Amino acid sequence: MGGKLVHFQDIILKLSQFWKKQGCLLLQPYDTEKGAGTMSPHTFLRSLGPEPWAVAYPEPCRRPADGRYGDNPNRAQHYFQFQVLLKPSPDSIQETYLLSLEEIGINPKEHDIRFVEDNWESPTLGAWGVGWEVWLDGMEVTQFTYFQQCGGLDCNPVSIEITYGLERLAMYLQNIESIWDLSWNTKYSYGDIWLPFEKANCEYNFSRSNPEVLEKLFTLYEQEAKDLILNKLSVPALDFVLKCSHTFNLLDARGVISVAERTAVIGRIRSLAKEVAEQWVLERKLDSP
Amino acid sequence: MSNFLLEIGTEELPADFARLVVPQLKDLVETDFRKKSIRYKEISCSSTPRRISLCISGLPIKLEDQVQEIKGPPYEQAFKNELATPAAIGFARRYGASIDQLQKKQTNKGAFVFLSITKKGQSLSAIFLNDVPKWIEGLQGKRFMKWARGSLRFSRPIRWMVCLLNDEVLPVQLPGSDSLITASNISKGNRLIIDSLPINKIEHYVDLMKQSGVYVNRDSRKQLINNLVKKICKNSNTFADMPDNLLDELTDLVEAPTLVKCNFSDSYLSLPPEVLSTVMRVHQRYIPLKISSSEFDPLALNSSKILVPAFLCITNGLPGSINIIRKGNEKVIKARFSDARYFFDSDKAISCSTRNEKLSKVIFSEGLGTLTERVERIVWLSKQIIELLHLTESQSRKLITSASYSKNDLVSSMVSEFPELQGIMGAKYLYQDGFDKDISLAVLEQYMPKSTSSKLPSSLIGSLLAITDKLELLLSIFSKGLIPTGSSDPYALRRAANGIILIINSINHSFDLNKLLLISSKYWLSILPITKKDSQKLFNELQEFFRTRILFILEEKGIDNDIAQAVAGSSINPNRLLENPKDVFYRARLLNQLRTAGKLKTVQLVFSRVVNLASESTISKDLYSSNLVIKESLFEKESEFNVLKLIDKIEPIVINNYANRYESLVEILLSAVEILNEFFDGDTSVMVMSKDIKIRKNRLNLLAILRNQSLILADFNCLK
Repeated sequence: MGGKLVHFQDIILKLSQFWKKQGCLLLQPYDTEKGAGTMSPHTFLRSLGPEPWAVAYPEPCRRPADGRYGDNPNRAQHYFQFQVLLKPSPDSIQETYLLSLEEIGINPKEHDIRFVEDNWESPTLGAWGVGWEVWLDGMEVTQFTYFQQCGGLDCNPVSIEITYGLERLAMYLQNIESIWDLSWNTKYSYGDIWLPFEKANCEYNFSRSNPEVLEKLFTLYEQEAKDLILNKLSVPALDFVLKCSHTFNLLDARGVISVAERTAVIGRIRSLAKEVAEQWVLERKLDSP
Repeated sequence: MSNFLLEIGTEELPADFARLVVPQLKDLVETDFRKKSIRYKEISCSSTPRRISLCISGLPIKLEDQVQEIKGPPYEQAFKNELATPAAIGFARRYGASIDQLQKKQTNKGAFVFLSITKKGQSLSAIFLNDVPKWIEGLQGKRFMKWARGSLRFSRPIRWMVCLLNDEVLPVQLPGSDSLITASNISKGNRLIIDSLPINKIEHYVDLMKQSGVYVNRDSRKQLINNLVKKICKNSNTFADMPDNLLDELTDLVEAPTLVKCNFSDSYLSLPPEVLSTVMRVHQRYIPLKISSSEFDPLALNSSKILVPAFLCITNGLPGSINIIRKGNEKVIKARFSDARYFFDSDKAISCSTRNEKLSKVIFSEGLGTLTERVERIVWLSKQIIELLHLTESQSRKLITSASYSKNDLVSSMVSEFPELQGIMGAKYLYQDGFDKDISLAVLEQYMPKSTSSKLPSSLIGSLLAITDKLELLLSIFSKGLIPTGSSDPYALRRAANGIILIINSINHSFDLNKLLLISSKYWLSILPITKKDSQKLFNELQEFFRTRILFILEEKGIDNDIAQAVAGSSINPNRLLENPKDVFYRARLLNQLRTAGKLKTVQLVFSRVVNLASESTISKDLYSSNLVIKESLFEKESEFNVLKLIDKIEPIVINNYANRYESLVEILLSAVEILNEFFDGDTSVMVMSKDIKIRKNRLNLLAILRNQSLILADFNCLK
């Protein structure tokens, strides 16, 4: 390592340029709160159906229960992923991925990079796949998944999803031990930008949110999603499924969801996601007979 | 002689698949060769994370021609007056033969027409071209996947194949793979060293691979890791905490193992050893290092007397990069440990009693209330056991307290983060709060045994708490109507019931599981509103469930299946079975010993005759005395008097519960063989099914009493 400092924004830029050269569409984050880049329609919906697809985009993620008021150097309720989805999965995708690491300044020959089995499953999306977590000298920096099912539907062709954990990579590249100390550019640190948001959101997530209101919102969002599915509008329906999911996460952060209730609510979100996926596939068939 | 090499190149295989696929592939090939009568010298299989390899040596050049004799129609139908009939002509034509090739041969069913045909021996290359794809498709594992547009399913995508027969490429194709794989002689080395690696001679394969940074031979790779670890431990006077499954996993995570010794700050030794070890072993696949002379203390709160602030990391990196790799791994463990310290400190700030109160906020399962209610039911069960076993006051107090606090760690930060530490953290936290050592240890032992072959609780309180924990689960889930079926057992109820039986077998007390199930079934249905069952039905379902578990464990313990059926099969009254499960195992072992000693057969023959005839009698199965049902006045022969004497001699043995009664019973049953043979077939034998109804009934009753007495040991009718 050593040499020039790679800023957080440079990592996003370099990964974007790299995947652009690989023929990916470069898209921007989707404007609804979500727990992972997979939930964006650019992945969730596009991994379905026969059409080829190649996309790359950075995506902010929210996981309210993971917040620590900015006290923990490794955990935050809001962070960034860089998401790549390629359909069908290309032959030498592992090698291409290793090249992308070189692009941001990690030479595989100098490290121990390993693909360790990790099968991914999203109970709320009715999606699962098999793949690995990629270890860089023992640190998980990327999730690699061959999608097998999404929204309960078989994926054919199979997509490969690559999700980079941007903060982890940046901490490694900048040789820094706390997310908040990362340099975003020459002038601003990650903490300068995001720490006030983190603290305020933790305050909301853990103390100020109103569970009764959230429960009502959940019910409203769920009903809206159902109505939209009935009206054959899969795209806005997905937005409301995502809102359900985020509202559920907010309730979870308040600790008001019991283990059993949890399973039941996740089941409700999953069945909505499934209907959205089915409706989407139907709409695409009508578009291109 | 021919030699064969197959290498299936893949993206990184899951570690357990890479391990389990090796014997599987070998089996497939051996079975196939046996079927085709193909001889060979040796088949060796191996795997690395990125390849599965198969070498076969000493194959023939080609397969020998095979002569096959086919049986045709009977000679008399095939030839009339030595002229071929349509039957013979049709038979010959079907195999492309002429009439004069048909031969007449005698069989034990008369003369038949036979035809010898010669099957040309196939070439080996034709066989491999055809069979290699079938072998690959025949491999099985968990969670197979598809990739790209292909229809082929495998553990991970297959990217290349090397297939050589006598150093010539066999272009085997893998249908359904995308992109379509055609075998060549080009392999891949370690990613960091060389991508494309031609294999021109099979004999050079292993060496070429080694030069390219790949230890193809799994066994030698495992040995290499083991040696690296041993050497460093010897030099540093430490002890590697590397269970077999970790060594196996490490072997299947690297192609070219290099050992890196890493350190961590000794300030983290203020955390419990189980926490540090779990983070290192389970989450990071590191090998923790222990102080050689350390003694394991499950209640220890810190690791300073147990662990060394260092660990071993088996990497796949190049030896020249060790410093960077060490630094990276040390940084990762630091972040992981500081997370763990945060959880540990926040747990320590709260007392176990406060945590216990929080259990009321957590739902156990729908319709079964909160964890507090589960704990209350565990306490209730503990009280029943105290009465059943007549525990002392001190034992009772300890059991109730440990039951009340058994789940306090389920709401701790540490267990939320590391669920595998449940019980372990609970015990430590209780001990830290000043609870008795026995109570704390019982909380630790409540989840034992993890499987039928793993460690059982060591203390009585721990054993009893472990029984209540499992029984509560069984009663509650059965009350909900969720009885395990087939492969579906999401609550691991089979494991729970197995655990109960194994623990009952291991403690010194006699344990009336039947009574406990009976009173608990009633209690459960009185407190749980969710179920519409009646308690008798719940009780019967549990009895049958435990019966199948006892049969399963008997089999696991190496008891012959028919003996297991004879002591615990469906002909055995479940009340008797569960009143004293330990007794069942004792009798099964006794019968197995008798069989090994060659003594069982004669007893079994004559007693199955007794049992068969006794089924005609109408007397109750729990009658052991001749007093009311046998009339000596109806006896005609001496043999009848002898059987009566025998019964009267057995009676005190079966009705009194004294030590060694089964040995006495066995002894007397062995001696009964002669008496019974005389009764059935001897000079003074009688006809049991006499025409005189009174006499017949008397004789049947005589046998029925004897059957009832023998049932105390086993149902001889089940023995084979």
